[in-house]
Amino acid sequence: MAATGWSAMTISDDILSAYLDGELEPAEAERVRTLVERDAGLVERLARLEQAGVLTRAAFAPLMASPAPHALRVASGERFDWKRIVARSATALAACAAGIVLGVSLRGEGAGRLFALDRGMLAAPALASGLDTTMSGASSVRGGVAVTPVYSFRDVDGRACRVFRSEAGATVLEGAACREGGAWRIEALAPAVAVEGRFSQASGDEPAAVAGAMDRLWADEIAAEEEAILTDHDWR
Amino acid sequence: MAASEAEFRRMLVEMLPRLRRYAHALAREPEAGEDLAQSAAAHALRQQAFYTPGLRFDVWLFRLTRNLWIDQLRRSGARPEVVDTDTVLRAAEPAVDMERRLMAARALTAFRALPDALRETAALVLLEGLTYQETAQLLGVPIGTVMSRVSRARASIARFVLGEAPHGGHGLERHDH
Repeated sequence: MAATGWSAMTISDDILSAYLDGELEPAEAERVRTLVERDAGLVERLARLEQAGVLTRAAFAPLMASPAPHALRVASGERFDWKRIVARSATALAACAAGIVLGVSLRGEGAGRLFALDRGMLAAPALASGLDTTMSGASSVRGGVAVTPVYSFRDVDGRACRVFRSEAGATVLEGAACREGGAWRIEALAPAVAVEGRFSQASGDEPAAVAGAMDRLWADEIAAEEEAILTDHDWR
Repeated sequence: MAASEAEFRRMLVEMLPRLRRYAHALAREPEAGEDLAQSAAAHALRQQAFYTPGLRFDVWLFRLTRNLWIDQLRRSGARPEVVDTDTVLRAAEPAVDMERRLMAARALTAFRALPDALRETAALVLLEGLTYQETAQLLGVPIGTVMSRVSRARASIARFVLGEAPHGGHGLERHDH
């Protein structure tokens, strides 16, 4: 990179490009600056080369901003930090525990009334209504079914999903459901395990019942603000 | 000494956005880019014993990704690609203003149309911010070659996005590679 003998006419794109990348020796860079100051044509050449880099970076910006696909995160060995997610949902869990301790007034028995599993695995009206209208951490009771969404997330297909706890009579279930075609499709469902009146998640453990589904589904969090908007619109 | 497994995973997860960008830049097609990024991440996990803590993790990962890409090219028999303008436009969607979005989309088209050697060099310097020295080492070419390739990549993208330069001659362009 000889620093001698350049003029505005003979300076090469290689030198201008190296200048933009900060790859010239200080004396060479100074020489380029001096030439550029004196020559409008050179200013334009430099600007064009600079634009090429700036626009190429801009072209990749959306990719950089988009969440890594679940498959890639799994391939990279990412493990979901349940403790963090659950800690953030501390209010929700406290509400769950309180619901159990206070004994939410429920009629009837069993999970049969929680979920109508015809048409595949879609939430029955009572659960669907609870998921539609209840913020994470709050509980609602409809038709003898208490529904407590724990947190919300977006899955790999972009669906809005919620992890929830639901009680009907003595049956306490936890699960995950995703909004699809105007319904809540159940993606995971299992009896919740209460230890001394508190659910296992309260200790920060992975919610076993939904962990497998979450590993498959989880793409991104749905923050409280977005959840509020979705709830206002019944998650439609 | 190898990095602890937890530390290695943390670095890898942190690098995922750049790994994706680099893989997309090499592979041109979005789907192939995702596949390459995924193979590279899985391969990196298997190869973690060979990473020496203290060395640049991004360069290590890029080198590994590039090797996978070269293997793929060899297997498939490198062929010219068709650039789908709609995909390019969609990829640039969230950009703020329309004109800039269109220009970025054109830059992406031009970038993808670059010959492999120019494209992979430009990816490391223009996108990943590696120095010429680091890029030369990773690619196994002289620094002068890196300088020339980056310059020609820039000029080619500028011509495509901004039209021919009004002042004609671009000085002493080199064509050593």
